[in-house]
Amino acid sequence: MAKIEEKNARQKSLKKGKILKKGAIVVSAVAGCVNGLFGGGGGMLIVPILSGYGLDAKKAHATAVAVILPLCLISAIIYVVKGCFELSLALSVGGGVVAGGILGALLLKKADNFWLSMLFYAVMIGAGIKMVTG
Amino acid sequence: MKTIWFVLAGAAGGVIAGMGMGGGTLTIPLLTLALGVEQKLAQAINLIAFVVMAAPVLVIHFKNRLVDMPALFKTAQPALAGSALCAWFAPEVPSEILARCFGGFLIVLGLWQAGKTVKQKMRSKKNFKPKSAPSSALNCRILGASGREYYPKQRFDE
Repeated sequence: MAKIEEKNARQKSLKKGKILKKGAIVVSAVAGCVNGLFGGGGGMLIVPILSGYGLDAKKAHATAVAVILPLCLISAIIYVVKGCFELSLALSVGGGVVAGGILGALLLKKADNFWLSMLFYAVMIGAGIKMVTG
Repeated sequence: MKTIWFVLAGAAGGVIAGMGMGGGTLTIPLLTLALGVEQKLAQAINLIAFVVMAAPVLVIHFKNRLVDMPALFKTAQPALAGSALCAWFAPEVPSEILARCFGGFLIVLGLWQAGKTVKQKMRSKKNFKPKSAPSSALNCRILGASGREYYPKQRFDE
């Protein structure tokens, strides 16, 4: 029973993937553009594209990291070459991100993801409004 | 003193990133709105921090064979081109304009992701099936039918 369901879901996503395939290249380029322009956020656009190719959630996330890493590396190099860099800031923020990242990966198993995500999105929208209005 | 706040801002973004929800979208506004860092600089720092954090994570993903190579190549090529092009322009744009555009991007992204999450929640409620107790308990010891203990395979979360 579960196998049939799985097969149906796979076929459905493959079908969706075929439709998406033509648009996927454009959307990938846009995601890259956004990541270069804003220094982040490309991953959130890449994951749906990969899901469209029929990857499950876990594989889509892992592959998205593999897609985003070279993008960030190239963008970071360009930013640094153009003079946007401060060593002390990079060290302190970078250290915090690595420590937080480990903590987040451990917390992932325990937290109620729904409310946490909704809180995160609310903060995101609030910050967005603040930035737009200046 | 300010260094501590920078570390904390990074950590807050890192926690979200570790949970797979796009931490840069939190780190950048924290740095600019709360700590007064220039938009371009915050973006550059976020990019560097992501590279540092994601490199070891990616190695683990490769070892676990979670990276789909054909999909990677298909997606990475156009994305790489777009990224290099726009990263070239970004430092030329005044930080104020860049920050406003980024704010708009955050609003759209936040609304879209929130809508998706709510939809998922509704769907999972609709199709709710009671799981059998042992398979839903992840890391606890269970007594097998024979009375011997066995450990269920640990689930891997990135």
